[in-house]
Amino acid sequence: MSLGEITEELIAKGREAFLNEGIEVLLGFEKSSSGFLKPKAFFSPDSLKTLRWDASASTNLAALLPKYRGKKIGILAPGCVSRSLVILINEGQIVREKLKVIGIPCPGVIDRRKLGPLKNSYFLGSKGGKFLLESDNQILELPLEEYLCDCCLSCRYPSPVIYDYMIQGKSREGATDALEGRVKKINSLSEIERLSYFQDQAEKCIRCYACRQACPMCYCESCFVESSEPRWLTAAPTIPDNLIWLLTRTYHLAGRCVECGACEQACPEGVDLMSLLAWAKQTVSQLFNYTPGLEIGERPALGSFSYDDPDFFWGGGLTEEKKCCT
Amino acid sequence: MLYLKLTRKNFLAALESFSDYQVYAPKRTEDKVRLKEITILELPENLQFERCTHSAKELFLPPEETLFYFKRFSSAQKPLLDETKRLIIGLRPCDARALQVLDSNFLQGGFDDPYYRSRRENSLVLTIACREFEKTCFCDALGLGPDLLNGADAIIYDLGDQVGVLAGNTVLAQRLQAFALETKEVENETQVDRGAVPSREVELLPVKSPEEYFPLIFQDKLWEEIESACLGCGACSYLCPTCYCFDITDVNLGPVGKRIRTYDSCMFNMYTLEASGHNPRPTLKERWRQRFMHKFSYIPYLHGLLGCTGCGRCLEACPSRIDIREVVKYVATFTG
Repeated sequence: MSLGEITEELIAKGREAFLNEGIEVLLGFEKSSSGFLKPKAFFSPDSLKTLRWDASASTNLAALLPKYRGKKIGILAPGCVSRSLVILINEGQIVREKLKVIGIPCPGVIDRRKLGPLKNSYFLGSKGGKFLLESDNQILELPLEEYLCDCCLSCRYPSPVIYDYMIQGKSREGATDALEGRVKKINSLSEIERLSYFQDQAEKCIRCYACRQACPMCYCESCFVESSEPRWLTAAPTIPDNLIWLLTRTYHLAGRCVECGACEQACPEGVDLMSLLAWAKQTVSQLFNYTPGLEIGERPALGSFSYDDPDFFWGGGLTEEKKCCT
Repeated sequence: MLYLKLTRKNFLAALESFSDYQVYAPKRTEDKVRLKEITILELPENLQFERCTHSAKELFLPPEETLFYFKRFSSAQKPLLDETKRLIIGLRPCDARALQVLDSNFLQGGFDDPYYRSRRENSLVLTIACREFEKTCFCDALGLGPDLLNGADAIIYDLGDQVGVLAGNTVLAQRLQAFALETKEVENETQVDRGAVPSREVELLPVKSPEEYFPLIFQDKLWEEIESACLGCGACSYLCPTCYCFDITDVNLGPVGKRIRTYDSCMFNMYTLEASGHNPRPTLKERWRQRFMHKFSYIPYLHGLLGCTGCGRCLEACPSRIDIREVVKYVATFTG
């Protein structure tokens, strides 16, 4: 599959969504001045000329949905974005009928952090397991696999779970334990070492909330950090307050995070966010045998209960009549 | 302005006379370079410093500053002023330029900020001329340059085994004079030996006059287009050397409380939210308008200098890779 083909196909499907399905806006990507893709909302079929998708598309487009609330929206969706959409539908944030999903079989996206000093080079494109960067008038051909996000490396659902159109192609195969490995590493630390590890992470945080803004699950109109009654934490980016932010965020995303890694890609300071989120995901998965975002209609792990729950619940022994709030 | 030539050794020796100052210089930890306190002896002999990934703003407008402490039933609190004497070395001309922008707001704009003034007046800022352009730099595209003094106390030019120092601060100049090989009274940077100053062919950004931007306030389509990539985080404003918007909150510490000042960003939905619940800037469209107009129209209109220094930190930090240069160009070509 060459790059030109997927671009043409994308634009064709986008046009179709505008003309036949009557979408008002299409959430996609276009090339930024650094060659890496940046998100973009397209408002007409004629504007689609610049629509692109490649291995530098590290934003989860579902995070842009609240901006266009009420509109009929088209969206490019690799596996993780489609799962975010499923959760948003299940949580009542969007209606399936108002969405036109252009599914993309995802070969994975590049981790900005793994690029190191190369992150300011010009991104030329990706092709067949390789990508090209231009740095100081030199063209570098780099293996995609070595620069993929940990999230993409351990992704078990690279193909969209819901879609209206599907772009031809093959998703990445052979999920590794990259994320699990990070959690394992942290679990193997002593309590003191673990505390100091996360204090170091908190020290880096400047509380710009790029992680929150990049996350499709952080759609609250008013975030707990902004609450003054009660005030959970101060606005100052100190280590204790930053820890409250990072940990509470993790708890709010437990059982909802699809591990797209958009938060980590958005963070300008290199805070280790995914270790916390992957830990939360593992915990939910062990306790409830639940993976978020796979099926429309399923109830969230932490937003539902079952009478067969083996754990102590409401003092136990509910009678039939009292089962009113199913 | 006085221009002095010194050997590196003598320059460092001259700095030692500032022993009552705390010395700050750019220091790398992992992939970040920030201003850290060091001793004069720790200064690199070649006087080369990496460009700070975080701007010098954090020393003048810290991310958190305590304005004063208060107690119940007592009034009239004294401001807690930071009067530490600081020598900050290794900043770049764009950082000095940013301080000029902050000065224009906090010292000259009709409101005098005692906290900022105290930090500013007790600091000596020594910049170094850049030796090359980073990929995200664009000071030259704004008509500024990598070799300008920009109101710093002095700028250091690398001349091989010597250094050239252009000092705008007379006290500093006097102290250096005793160590200098030659000195010369000059009027501007072009009259002095600046060593190998980087230059490149660059297209000037189409920045218009402040008044020309005013009518664009009403062009909703323009701002909608610009904000469509924006996620609404504060990375650009927090790392911007000239973004100075702040928030003031009280922190309850039990029997006492403290009033703190922290950063705010026009990209947040709490920005300019009124107590009634009304926000004159309810969506990113209005917030982007504010961000752009503030830098390129309001600050130039009020204070006569551009609010952007071309440091490129926002380009690097933006999760959506929004390029402010592209925005300036787009605004210039917008016809409605």
